[in-house]
Parts: sequence; structure tokens; C-alpha cells
Amino acid sequence: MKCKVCARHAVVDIRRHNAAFCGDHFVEHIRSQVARTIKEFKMFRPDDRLLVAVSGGKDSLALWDILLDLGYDVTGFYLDLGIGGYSARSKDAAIAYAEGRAAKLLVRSLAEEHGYTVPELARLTARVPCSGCGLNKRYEFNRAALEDGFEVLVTGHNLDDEVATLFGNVLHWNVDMLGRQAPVLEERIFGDGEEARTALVPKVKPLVRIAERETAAYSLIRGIDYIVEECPMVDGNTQHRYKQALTQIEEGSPGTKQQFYFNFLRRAAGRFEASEPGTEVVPCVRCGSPTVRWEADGRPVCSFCKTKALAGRRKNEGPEPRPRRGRR
Amino acid sequence: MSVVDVLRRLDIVPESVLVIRDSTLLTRDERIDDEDEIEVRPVLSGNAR
Repeated sequence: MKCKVCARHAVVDIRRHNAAFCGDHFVEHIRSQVARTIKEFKMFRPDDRLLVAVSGGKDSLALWDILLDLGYDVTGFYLDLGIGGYSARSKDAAIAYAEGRAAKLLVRSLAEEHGYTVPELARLTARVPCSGCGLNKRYEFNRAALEDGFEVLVTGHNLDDEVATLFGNVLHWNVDMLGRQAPVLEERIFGDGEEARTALVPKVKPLVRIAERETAAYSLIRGIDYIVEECPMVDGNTQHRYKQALTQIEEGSPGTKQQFYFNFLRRAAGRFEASEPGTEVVPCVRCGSPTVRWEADGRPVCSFCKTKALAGRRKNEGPEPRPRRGRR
Repeated sequence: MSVVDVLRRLDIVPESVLVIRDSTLLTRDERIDDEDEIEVRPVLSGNAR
């Protein structure tokens, strides 16, 4: 195959665009697709301070690389989840990238901040690791942005991530989740007038137009040393099975994923606007983060604080779970 | 044999991997010789995001 731009030998083919590119023009193509997405969805302004969540994987490092090349003021945020050697190696990848580009990187650790790792949290709360992991990542990411005055949070969710999530939400008709699935999650504010303060920093996904195969190819061509291994905790999870099924469909009909997602945004998303009658978003009484107050709920506590408290109680009960003996 | 032929023979969906030879990416029509050493790198992650 030949490069669509310069007719040199191509190294990447993108079937849904019916195009192939040499290394240089592929990098240029990805960069311009990301720039177009930022503009189209009005994700941020040129002088905004951005905080990008980096895991050490291909998507987040590619995104960081692209944003730096596009000239944005972007800092990396790495959260050490304490998943054994996997976390150690992914942290090394994030730090090595930051050093190589002289980019700013914030590093935090769940064990240091809250006294547990993701595997410990899963054991203590008897929930799947991905649930506690996601909850803690969202919480810490928002907290870091609020504390350090970042204007926008940026994540490396790619087209395949969004399509798999959309597919899952449609399969289960999670209408509330469908109402919230968008490339831009707007800022949430508490109070008004002089009392007003940011509760949730806006969160954006500039890679929604880029397939996972393309972020991997981009990283490889750019010489980004990302962590190739999978998180050992997600082995065989639902999201992965959806991606495999959807990729099988994409193989037969290139462009299916992109149409499914972008036509959802254009034609359907507006019909699922989040509506939870009888609820109100209020600050958590323990940490001040936004949470939903139900009509019957007097003192609202957010899911992060509830989960952390549960883990703390179980940890104090000792290594073996004991049967409950009445109220403590 | 082409990249896509090799992948189909291995029962791998071509869209789900990158194929690399001597640190260079290969498009699906590229020829692979018997002596070539190639890496087939999966690209689909299972992040629960």
C-alpha cells in the first residue's frame, strides 16, 4: 500500500477511512483528527491548564504526546493503584515519558492517600476490583485538579472504549448512563453568586475519533515506550468481550464502530438526557465532593466515602471476616 | 503469504492487532517470508472505564 499523502511506502492502513499512511503522515493525520475533535466539541481553550490522566498505557501516553505537540499547557497525573509489579512498571513508563519530554507529572498513591491498594480494596469490600478502581481514579483525578487549579481534566478514552461502553449501555438499556455518555462532561458547580465553587472539573475525551489500534500504532511510530501488558485484574472482563465482538463486526464492515458512536451522539444522545426525579446534587457531608441526595436521605455521603469507610471497618475487624454480632 | 493470510490462518481478527517486523509496522497486504520473524501485538485493552 502507498501513503495517501506522499505515495511513499505505507505502514498503517485505516480501513474505515479507506486510507493508508507512511509513518510521518500517519502521525500528522492523528494529530489533526485530535485537533478537530477538540475544536468540534469545544473541549478547551489554548491557554487552559490541562491535567491528563496517564496510566502508562498507549492511549494516555499518545494523548499526552499529541497535546504537548499541539502546544497545550498539559500536566500528567499518575495514580499508583498498588497492583503489584504491573503498577510499578506502568509508573516507570509514565515517569520515563515525562522525563524524556521534560513534561510535568503529578504522582499520587492510593496506599499513601487512603491506606489501601486496589486489590486490598476489592478484598475488603468484596466487590470486583474494576469497580473500586474506577471510583478511586475518578475521585482522585478530580481532587488533584481542584487542589492544583487545573481547568480541564483530559482522559485517553478512545473510539473503541466509547463504543464498547455505548454497546453495554444499550444492551442493558442503562438510560441514565446513555444520558451521560458524551465526549465532554460539563463542570458542576455548588452554590451561586460569591458562594459558587467548582464541584466537578470538566472532563473531556479528545481521542473519541481515534481507534485503539491507531493509538497503539501512533505510540509505536513515535517511539513511546508504553506498557503493553494488561492490568492483571481485568482479565476477561465484560468491556474486553464487547470490544472483541465489535471488532469482529468492524472487520467485516469497516466504519461500523464510528457510525454507531457518532450517530448516537448526533441522533440519539439528546433523548436520554439524565433525569433522576426526586434527586438533587449536593456536597458529601464528609469530603465535600458532589453526590446525589435522595428525598429520604438526610445527610448525604458520597460513594467514595462510603466505600472507604467500609474498607476501614473491615480492615479493623482483622484478616478473617467474622460474622456480625449486632451493632458496633 | 500476506499479513492478513497469516492472521486468518492463526484465527486472529486483523483489526484487533498490529503486526511488526524489525520494529516496523506492516499493512495487511504486506508479504511475509517463511524466515521472517514477526510480532503480533494485541491492541484491545480491557479497561473498565
